[in-house]
Amino acid sequence: MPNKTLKLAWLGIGILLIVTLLIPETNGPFKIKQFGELPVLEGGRIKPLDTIARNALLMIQGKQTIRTQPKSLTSIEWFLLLSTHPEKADALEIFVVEHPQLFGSLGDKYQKQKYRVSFNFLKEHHNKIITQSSRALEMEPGQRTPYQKQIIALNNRLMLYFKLKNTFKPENNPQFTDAIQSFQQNLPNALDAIKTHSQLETLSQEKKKLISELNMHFKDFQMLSQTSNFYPIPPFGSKTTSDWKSVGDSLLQSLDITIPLNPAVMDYSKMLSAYANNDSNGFNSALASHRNLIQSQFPKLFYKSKTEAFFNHASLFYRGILLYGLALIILIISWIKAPRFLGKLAYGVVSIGFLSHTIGLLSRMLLHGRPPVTNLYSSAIFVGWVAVFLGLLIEKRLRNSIALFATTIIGILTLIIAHHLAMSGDTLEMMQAVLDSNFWLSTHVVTITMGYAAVAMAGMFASIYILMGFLTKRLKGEREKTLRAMVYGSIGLALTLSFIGTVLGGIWADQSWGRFWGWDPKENGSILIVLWMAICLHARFAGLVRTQGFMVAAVFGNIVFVWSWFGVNMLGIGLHSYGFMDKSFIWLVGFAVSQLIIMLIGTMPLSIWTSFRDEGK
Amino acid sequence: MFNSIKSSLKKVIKAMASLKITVLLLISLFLLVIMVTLAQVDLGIYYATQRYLNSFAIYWAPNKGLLVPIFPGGYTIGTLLFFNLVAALATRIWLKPKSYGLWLIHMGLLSLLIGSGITSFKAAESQLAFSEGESKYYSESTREIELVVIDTSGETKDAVISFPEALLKEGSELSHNTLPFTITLNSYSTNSTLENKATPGIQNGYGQHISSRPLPIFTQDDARNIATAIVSIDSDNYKDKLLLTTGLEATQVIQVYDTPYRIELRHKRYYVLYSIQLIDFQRKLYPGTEIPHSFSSKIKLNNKKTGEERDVLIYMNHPFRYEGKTYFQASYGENETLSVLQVVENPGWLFPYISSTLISLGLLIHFLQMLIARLKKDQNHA
Repeated sequence: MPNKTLKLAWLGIGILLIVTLLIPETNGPFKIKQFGELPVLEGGRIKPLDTIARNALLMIQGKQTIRTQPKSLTSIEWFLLLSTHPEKADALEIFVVEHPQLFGSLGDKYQKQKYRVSFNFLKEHHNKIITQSSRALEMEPGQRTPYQKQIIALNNRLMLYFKLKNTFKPENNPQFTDAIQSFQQNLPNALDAIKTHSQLETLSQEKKKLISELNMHFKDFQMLSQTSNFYPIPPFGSKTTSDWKSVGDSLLQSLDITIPLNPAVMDYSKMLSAYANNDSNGFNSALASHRNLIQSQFPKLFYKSKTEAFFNHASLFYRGILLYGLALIILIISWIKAPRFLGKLAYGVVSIGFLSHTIGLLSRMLLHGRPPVTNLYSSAIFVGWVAVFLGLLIEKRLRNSIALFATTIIGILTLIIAHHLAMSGDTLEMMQAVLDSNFWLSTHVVTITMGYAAVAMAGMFASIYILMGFLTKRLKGEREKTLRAMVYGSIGLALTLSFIGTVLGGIWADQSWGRFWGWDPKENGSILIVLWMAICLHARFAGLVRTQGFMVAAVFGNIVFVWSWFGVNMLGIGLHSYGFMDKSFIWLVGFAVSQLIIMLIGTMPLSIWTSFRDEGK
Repeated sequence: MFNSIKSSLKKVIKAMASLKITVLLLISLFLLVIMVTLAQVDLGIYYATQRYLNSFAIYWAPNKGLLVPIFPGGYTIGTLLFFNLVAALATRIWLKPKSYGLWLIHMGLLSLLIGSGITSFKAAESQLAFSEGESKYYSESTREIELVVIDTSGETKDAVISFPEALLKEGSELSHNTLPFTITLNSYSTNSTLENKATPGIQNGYGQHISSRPLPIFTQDDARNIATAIVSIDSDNYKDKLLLTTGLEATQVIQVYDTPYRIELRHKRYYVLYSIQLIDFQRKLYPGTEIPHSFSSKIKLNNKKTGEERDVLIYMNHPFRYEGKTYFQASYGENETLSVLQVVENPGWLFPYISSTLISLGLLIHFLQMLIARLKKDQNHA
């Protein structure tokens, strides 16, 4: 039966998808992927170097790869280039500049809204950036102009870049491995020289040289300890996360000759100098030595770090976007040709996309040890996940491809939003003290976010109702009835979830700062959703609106939802505005306008709707 | 006669229970919440809430002295919703098997409305700031001011007479039957700035060195206003003029009929009959970051009346509830040796818990009933 073959085909596609994930990348002679798996401490948690490199590149240039000739650079390759050949990395045009007035006076090229420049370029204009951004920093965050926000952002990118470059070794000391070795060899003698001869004149030339060299090393180490972006040196013999150290600190510590130099310092140093000298054997053997040490001392952390690097590499949410997109195309074709077969095919493709989406979500939860929603980024991922999940359930029962179509669109949009939100840094960031409660995160936050998904579904179903009715002849009979019921059901669900979620939030607030309700903008946003959903239902019961008006009201729900989700964060006040973001304002307005247009179409008299035109006759 | 009253009363209640009124009120509330959210950008949360929600109407002031109500405030909408809901419960949403769920949901809403009413009229929030080692038996309001006269002549106790902020207006005269003098406010400003310059006409106290200039109120939620007043003290044998301000921590004492009185303008105090001592404040950061991982205050509670003396740890999401007041970790300062606790007294705190239980139960029953009805219908079809 074709049914069976179809199922087999799904299995095949699914397996193919997963196998492509497992095929190791061929990176040439250097084991770069293994290098990216090495755990380091940054932002309060242990994460792989791969995550550091990806997030840094996202923050600096908004993308995870750099297009260069003859071959693109991945994040971790760029990081290695930055640490070993800083002069080459400095010439890459990777820094995003997002304001036409920042360097507009230099020529047409710099008057675009968004363009990229190199570190060398910014170095030339360093004075301007420093003075302008320190002036901007004196302003209250809410008062800053877009120009000032951009100059601060640019300065932050520069700082991040500079720190990354000087984490493993000082950029101006290419022979750092030799320096460490000579430091270790000469340290006892140099210390001895300092101890035994308090008067400089009486020292021999040779000892003077020893002391001055030690002084130079000391300066290098101190600078390294100050510029370090992360802490790569594990504390062998200690399980405390805060004992991880920077390269500079480890070296400074070893000035006390009773403390041996941490072997990881030498391993990293060897890796980098081998990479600089194009010596793949040296690189791989130092890497293997460090990995063995980590494996034996921190097997759990190492496993977690490797897993995170693997999921970075798998980019499951990106695959989700692609598969959902593919399914949409199939669905659209299915309305013209072979609806049964193509409809089933689309269902399968969405299912595989959903599988990828789910694994991504679960892996984040496991790595973080948290419920699915902890910040704006993960709320986007979760809204899409809930919508697609419900869409698949409804589709299974109704088989009209409408639920699937609508929720797949929500899935794509929310994953794209998440992709853009990821540019602000680590998406597995540590939780602010006040949010640090898995119980409330998994009840209040999850329920509210599920409510968002239900509102979005109601809005999307209603949009389809309006557009299908107005533009096509398909909105008739059973289909019209089902679609109407779908909107009703979603609104009921949305009201329930947002109400319970909001009340739970109130109880959390009562527990943690004694105020059930504080009229903070985020709270206002969530009560707006509850009120609007209640208005939709009661207006329908009261007979104030009929089906048509109900649909228009449901589409308006989308605007309320997006306002509650993002708009309030742009106001930048209140206890909830940890997830501040900017610039997306235009997108928000654009979305609102699109919804208003659909609402406008929805208010047209039914007599000109294509589906109902002939009914009077 | 009686019957006609009864029937017209029934008509009124029926009209009040109208779903159309419900929708109108919900839409008004929806608009009000949008307005208050937008107003918060300029006014801050506290003042926006006061103007839009803790008020009966929102006024438009085209000219000074002219106030035109243009939209119902939170109190009005809340009260109307309350009556609408009561009427609906009395006439439409009966307690019958078919609508147990709906009934519970709306009872829960009723309890939520009552609770928020109690909270907005009865709840008081204040703060308790103390350094390690320091012991306190009162907390202070962050916004409300009081003018106090303290008779320090008692051997073991001070007598404190407090005049609340509502009475503090330019020109008002304050008196109390235990005080041998009256206090007249020559000027009062909720916010002001202090200058190192003598206030003309003042011969006593720190007003000889300091003067004030009124400022517009700071509305931002974290900004503190400095209230200042110039007062005249009047009695048969004593006349004086003083500058009072919340911006200085100094006391001024006057002697009237040989009794020393301290006169102060200060943040309103809430006294308790026990004392709390800060033993240790701790702030922990995530390793290698500036992100706080936890804040905590270890305090010693000392209640002479009950003989209690014990240590309590207050930290995020773990407040300390005692004798109707709840203490929350709110802030800290001075190199982590000073802790600020939020002190909340809210007699309506239990209502949201009751209503959320009722509503959740109601929703559950309602959806189960719908599901069962749906399944039955499907079965009949088959």
